[in-house]
Amino acid sequence: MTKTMKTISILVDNEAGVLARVTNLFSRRGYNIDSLAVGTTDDPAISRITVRVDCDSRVLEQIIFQVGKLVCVHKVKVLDDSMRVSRELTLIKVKADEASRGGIIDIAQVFRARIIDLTPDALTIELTGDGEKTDALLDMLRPYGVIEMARTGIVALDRGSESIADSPYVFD
Amino acid sequence: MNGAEFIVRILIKSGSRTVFGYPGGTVLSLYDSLYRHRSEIRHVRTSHEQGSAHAADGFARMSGKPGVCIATSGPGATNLVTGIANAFMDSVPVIFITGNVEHSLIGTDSFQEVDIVGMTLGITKHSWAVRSPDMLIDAMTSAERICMTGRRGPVLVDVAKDVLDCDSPDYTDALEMFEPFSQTETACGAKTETAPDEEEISGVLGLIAESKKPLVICGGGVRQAGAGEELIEFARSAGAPVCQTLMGIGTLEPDEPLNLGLMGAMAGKAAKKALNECDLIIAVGARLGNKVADISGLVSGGKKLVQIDADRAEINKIVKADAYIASDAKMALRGILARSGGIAGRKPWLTRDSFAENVSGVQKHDLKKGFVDPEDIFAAVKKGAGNSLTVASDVGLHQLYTASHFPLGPADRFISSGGLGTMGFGIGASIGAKIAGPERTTVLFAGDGGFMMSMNELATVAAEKLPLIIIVMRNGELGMVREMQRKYCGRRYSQTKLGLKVNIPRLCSSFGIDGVRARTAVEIEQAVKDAVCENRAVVIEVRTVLRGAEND
Ligand SMILES: Cc1ncc(C[n+]2csc(CCOP(=O)(O)OP(=O)(O)O)c2C)c(N)n1
Repeated sequence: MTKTMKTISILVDNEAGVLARVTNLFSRRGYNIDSLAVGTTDDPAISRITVRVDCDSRVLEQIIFQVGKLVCVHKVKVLDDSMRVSRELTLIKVKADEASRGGIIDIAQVFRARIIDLTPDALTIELTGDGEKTDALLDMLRPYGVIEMARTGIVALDRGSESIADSPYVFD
Repeated sequence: MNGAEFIVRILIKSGSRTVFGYPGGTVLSLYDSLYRHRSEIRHVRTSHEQGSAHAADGFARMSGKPGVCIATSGPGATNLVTGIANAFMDSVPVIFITGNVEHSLIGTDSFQEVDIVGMTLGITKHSWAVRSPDMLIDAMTSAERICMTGRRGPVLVDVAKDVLDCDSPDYTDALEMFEPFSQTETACGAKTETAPDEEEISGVLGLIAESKKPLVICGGGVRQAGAGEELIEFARSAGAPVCQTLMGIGTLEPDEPLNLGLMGAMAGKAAKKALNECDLIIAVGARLGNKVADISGLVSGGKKLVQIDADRAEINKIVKADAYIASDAKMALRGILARSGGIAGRKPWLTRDSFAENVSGVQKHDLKKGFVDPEDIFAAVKKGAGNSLTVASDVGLHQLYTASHFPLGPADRFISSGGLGTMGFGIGASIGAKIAGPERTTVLFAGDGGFMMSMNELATVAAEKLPLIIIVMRNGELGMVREMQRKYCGRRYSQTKLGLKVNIPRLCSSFGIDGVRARTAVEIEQAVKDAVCENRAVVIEVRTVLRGAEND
């Protein structure tokens, strides 16, 4: 069976230890997490975990129902690749002196990234994208000397009025 | 009311009359409450927390209700880990309650502090790190329901010492409002059993209609759902013989011609033939683990697979099923039977003539004087012990021998560690099973290795005056591992010759338990009869030879 990158949303109780339960399950059963993002939802009692996993359809089914058995999990939805919007925020700090600064700013502009911090020897770029763009920007910046970077992990929602409430995978 | 008192009163209100455990510093107030309520709830203190855990597990397997097991923080809690994993692997409902250090000390590596919730995340159905009265109320009022609904399993309630010790005004109301879980509730809710889907039933019926040689694999889920009768009715109408996993043994009558006995390495001729020749495998309440059969291989070899399981995550886990019903076995089988006009009355394509065909082709050995052949041991014990037995086993060759050779049916209970294969399970588990089912004669078959691992619990057997019949099958070897060495290590028997000098009868009498060395089947039968008659415990040591199936 062929593996592809899947985007899965999981609604969980917003409580201590819940993330540990979910990630423990992924690592114990050998599901490889490519990206993970967690935050509260419009309901403060509920958090949303967005996880990206490279897997085949049988493992995807396993993930849905194994995760669904956790008491802290309420809903699971697999987001359709062509019917979702997804974003990841990345901060990249690059070495920049007078000579290199202009080139870096040009690159950032092409990627529609913003400069959010600037000092005589470095600058920090903020990029919002769907993930792939981040890798491309990073490749361009490497020759200048990347000091450090941080990524939030991908978050995603369905396009249109469809939402996780429409998921068939309800585990209440 | 403090947290400890709340816990004990919730347990009493839930109908728990016996709990198992071992005291310590962080659970002082819990033991104080247990002392106060000692006329309402019996506490059995074992020799070791692992023994308590297995006893609570055996209690749950026998009673069908959750077992309860208590331990202190740190080493008390870590001593439970094997028992928790064992209950988890075999889907046994047990409520484990541990004390932890005071909430203000948590995270400081204080004395006897361990993160038991973190350590057991992967082997509990759910757990609570209780650090406030609110959390204790939530945990104690939902623990039993979570254990018992859907696929069963253990939960852990880890309570900080200060929560146990301190009063809260909320406990009285919570106790008042608490409605104990009732068995009938298991039929609703999505994390619980779902009624079978009509389309799913049609899919399964379609495959059965197409099949010429259907075979049923019966797992522990059938007994848990109380679906033994439905299973045999289904098998008869589909003309399908039935093999059982270690957890499913005893679901069918031993003289039922469709009953092909145990699967796996020690499967008898009939079961092996059926597995080879069938064209459709119908797994009911069986998770198709790697010790049962190579299911992927069978399916890729062209056999079709139907799965019936209460746990939706079991469907397609090992290999994709051709059809399935995600529902409790009883509801699923009833659903099928209600519509099985098309398959009813089919002639079975394979049956067996005698129980002996269920037994693997183990060669009889020329035994030295004083040794008894395992088949003769089982026959003698059966004669001496009678009917409606609880039969428990430890882990090893003797376990597979017991499951395949001892005639176990629906009137009996078979209690054995399947998924984890925990040596040392037997004595603890039979303590719990005997307490849950005191009216039954309870027989444990143990290997000499496993007996030595857990014989500290003979002290518990003596203290609680439990009339257990323990047969130690003394082959002088760690038999099951020795068999692997014979096959895979060129007969280099590294560390599997026990060389045990222990005099087991004398050891037992120092615990205050009768110990007998039986040299013949007649002596075994007599020793069993005497113990049953006098309602006392006995340990019967029998020298024997156990070998794996030669044709495996
Ligand atoms: C706690 C534990 N340790 C090790 C093993 C590995 N093991 C499986 S069977 C077995 C031998 C058991 O020997 P014995 O109790 O004498 O029973 P026999 O196989 O001889 O019947 C061992 C060591 C195990 N299952 N559990």
